[in-house]
Amino acid sequence: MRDEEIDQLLQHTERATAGVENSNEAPIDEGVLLAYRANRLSEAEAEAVERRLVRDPEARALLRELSQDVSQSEVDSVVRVLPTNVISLASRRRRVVTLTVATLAAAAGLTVILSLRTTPQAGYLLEVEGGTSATRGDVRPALVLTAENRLLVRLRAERATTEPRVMGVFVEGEQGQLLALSPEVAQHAGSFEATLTRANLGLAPGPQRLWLLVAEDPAVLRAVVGRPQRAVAGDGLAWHGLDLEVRSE
Amino acid sequence: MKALLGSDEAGTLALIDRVSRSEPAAVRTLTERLLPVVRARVRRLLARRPDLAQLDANDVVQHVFLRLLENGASQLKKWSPERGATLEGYVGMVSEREAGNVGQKVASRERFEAQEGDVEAPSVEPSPESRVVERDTANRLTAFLSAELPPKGQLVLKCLYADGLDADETARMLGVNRQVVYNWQHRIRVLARQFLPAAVG
Repeated sequence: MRDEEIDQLLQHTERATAGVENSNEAPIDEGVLLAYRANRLSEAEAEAVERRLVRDPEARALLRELSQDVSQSEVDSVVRVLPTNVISLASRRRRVVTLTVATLAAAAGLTVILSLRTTPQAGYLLEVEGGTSATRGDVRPALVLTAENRLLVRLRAERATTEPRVMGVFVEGEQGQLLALSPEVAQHAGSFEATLTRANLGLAPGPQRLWLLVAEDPAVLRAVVGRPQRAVAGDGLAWHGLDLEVRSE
Repeated sequence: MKALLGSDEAGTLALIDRVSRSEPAAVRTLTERLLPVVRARVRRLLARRPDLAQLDANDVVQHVFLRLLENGASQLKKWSPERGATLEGYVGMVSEREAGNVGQKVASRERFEAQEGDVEAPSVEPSPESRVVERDTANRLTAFLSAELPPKGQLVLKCLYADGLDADETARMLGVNRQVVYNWQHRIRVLARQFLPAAVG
């Protein structure tokens, strides 16, 4: 008999004798199944697990589910909906930041340089290079992003540091919730530079409110996604806001 | 499974303690560790219970995590390694219970309708193919393979021929190389070939 015929015979045999399997046992311990799969059990323990799996189709189904990969996006989707009493957005040692915004005057078509000074404790200077226009004397200078230009957004550390830090870039959604963006971000000695283009931001035309956040723990950046910025602004996080107008031309 | 339970329980308890203090990194680490368990239990429950089919597995998973982590992770802190279950096993039981609670309201009406209406029972008629192999022959072949194969081989047999998994799926499930599965499959086929002449004769 060919392999295919033997396989067919075995399938029919398994179906015909399926009734003898017993799935009425108490659920098997997932930790034991995971340890079996990771080859962390002794030979005798592994054999006991295998005997259980042979006679228990539900245990096999459970092991099959346990063997499915878990993506980071799945983890994110769970973590970001946990309320603030489950995830503290800021550890005690994070420093409170107060933004003092410098005024700005710039003419249309010129490169814009913004300087938003933070407190010495925060130690970050926000610079934006690029854009095509800005409002005069406003605490929120409007920057324009078209298909033709790009913005270089820098958070410059006033003192170089080797402490682990990450920067997140967010946009406020229609309901004011923070949505994570994925521009190119370069980091050096605690300073960050993000290159914003219409293509890599994927934003719709119109006014957009961007937020930059520096944290010591990437989990903090993930934890704020989906929340209104004002709801997470008072937790000692170093937020830097930026108004942007995205144009379709 | 004492060795398994004792290997890292101190670290696990320390992790739970950090989670109870809402440390973001600890919450994420624990979520990464337990998500496969919660997801697996929820999916299995929804698969077994047609009355819960309308529930979204992701929503139920999030509900379970909320229950596990709220109030200073009080539910998680009830886990005690001395009781014999691993953390994963304990969380699996909690997941089953919480997922059942989520579905209780939704399911009650459907359960009532199912009792009142026609229930589509699974067919008990053997498929045409299964008639090819007489039950007696099938039983003897099963007994023969059970006697000849060690547990690992029997498990591969079940995965491939009872559950309909392919070699890759079986290998991933058992945490082995695909070639290991192929080797077992070859041995199973050889044994089946040995059995057939005797059965016919």
